[in-house]
Amino acid sequence: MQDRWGGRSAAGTLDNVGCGNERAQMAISSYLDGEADPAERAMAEWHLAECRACNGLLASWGQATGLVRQTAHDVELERIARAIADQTRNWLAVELQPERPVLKRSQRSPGLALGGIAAAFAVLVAILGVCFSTAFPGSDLRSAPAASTATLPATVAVVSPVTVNNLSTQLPATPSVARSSLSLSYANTKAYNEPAKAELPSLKTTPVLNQYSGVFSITPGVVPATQAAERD
Amino acid sequence: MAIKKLDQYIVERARQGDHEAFSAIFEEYGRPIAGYLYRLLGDREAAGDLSQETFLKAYRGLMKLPPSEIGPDFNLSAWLFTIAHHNAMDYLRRNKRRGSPVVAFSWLDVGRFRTGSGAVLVEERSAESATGGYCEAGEENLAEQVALGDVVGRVLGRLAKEHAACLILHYHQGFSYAEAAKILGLPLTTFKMRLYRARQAFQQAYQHETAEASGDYKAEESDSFTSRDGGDWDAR
Repeated sequence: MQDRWGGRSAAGTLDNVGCGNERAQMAISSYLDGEADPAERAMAEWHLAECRACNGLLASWGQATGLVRQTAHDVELERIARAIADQTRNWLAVELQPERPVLKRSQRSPGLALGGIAAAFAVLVAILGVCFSTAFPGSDLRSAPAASTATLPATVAVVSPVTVNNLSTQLPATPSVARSSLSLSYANTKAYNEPAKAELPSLKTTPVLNQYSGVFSITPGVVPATQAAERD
Repeated sequence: MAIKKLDQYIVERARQGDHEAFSAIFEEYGRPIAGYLYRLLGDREAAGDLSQETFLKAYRGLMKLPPSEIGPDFNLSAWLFTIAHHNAMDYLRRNKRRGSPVVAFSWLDVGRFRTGSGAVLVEERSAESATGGYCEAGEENLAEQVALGDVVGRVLGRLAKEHAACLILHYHQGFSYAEAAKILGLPLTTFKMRLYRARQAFQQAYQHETAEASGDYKAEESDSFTSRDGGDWDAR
């Protein structure tokens, strides 16, 4: 069956209901729920005005949908839904709770890692400091005051590869050597394999090893300019 | 149904991992979601599992939602029902239960009711009735209401799940056509057609149901009826 709206029969889909105009009935279905757009509303009203079968369909549909609506808040359904919701609530409380310790662990882990890194860095710095002080004994802080008291000439000249080791720059209270223009006393040790002796003519060579604790080293091969001038 | 400002605030807080905000969302939508899943599947255990899965996915999904989607047009209710519906469809696909009769849906099987000459009688008074919860409406009304709910539940259980979902979302949960179509992932016109067919199918299934109820109810006959038609006879 086909009407003026071009609807086609619903045969083959379900039992034939109403006049069989599926398109008009779909419009009536939406019209019944108040969800029809203007075109559907016009189609439904026009079709209902002339089709007695679809008028009966409208009534039966209204009754069926009323039944479905009526059971929306069925007490038994509400009871079961409440029980399921309670069960879900308890489950979620357990399921979502363990995330807190996980967060704590994840917060503590970086802290521990940073602490470990800091401790390792501190140990490394300490080791490097010991190595550095061993490799470069002149950098010992104890020699700093002596260095400051040494009156070194303004200029130095390279004369010969002379190595002066364990040269104490601290003057004794009762100096055993005569003061010279260069107020430095030095001592040679055998730890340095036969180093060339610095020849300071005006300096008497009395060892003063036990009198001074300060240690000072001068770059090998460099002698004070005043000594170079005396040589010349 | 645009999201309310309070809902938007709660959603924002839940997105930041606030458990209390998510708890508020659950208290608002936990029961409707559970009711929808139970009506659709007719299986309490499955409805419980899928309800848990739905809210777990919602909890994780809220945090992953881009802020652009959490606007004034964001529909939290429809979003939750979309997750629940997809979970239910996945469950049915996994269990190959699409269109199969949902036996557990009928409360006649759980021993709460007994039948006699088509009438459904309350076998035992529930705890709610003892405290006066049901007595306000009267036992007769309660029995009628429960019986009606049982019949409608069984009829919905016989429909194809796609059709049952249309009816439940619109008539039970009160979603508009546009919202229900969005939940089901359908164009509006397709949803209208599907609802029209669901209405027809319900009408016919209800007639069969009442015809059976007018005689002596036999579960075997009902099962053979649904299995013969495959439970999807409305979609042929």
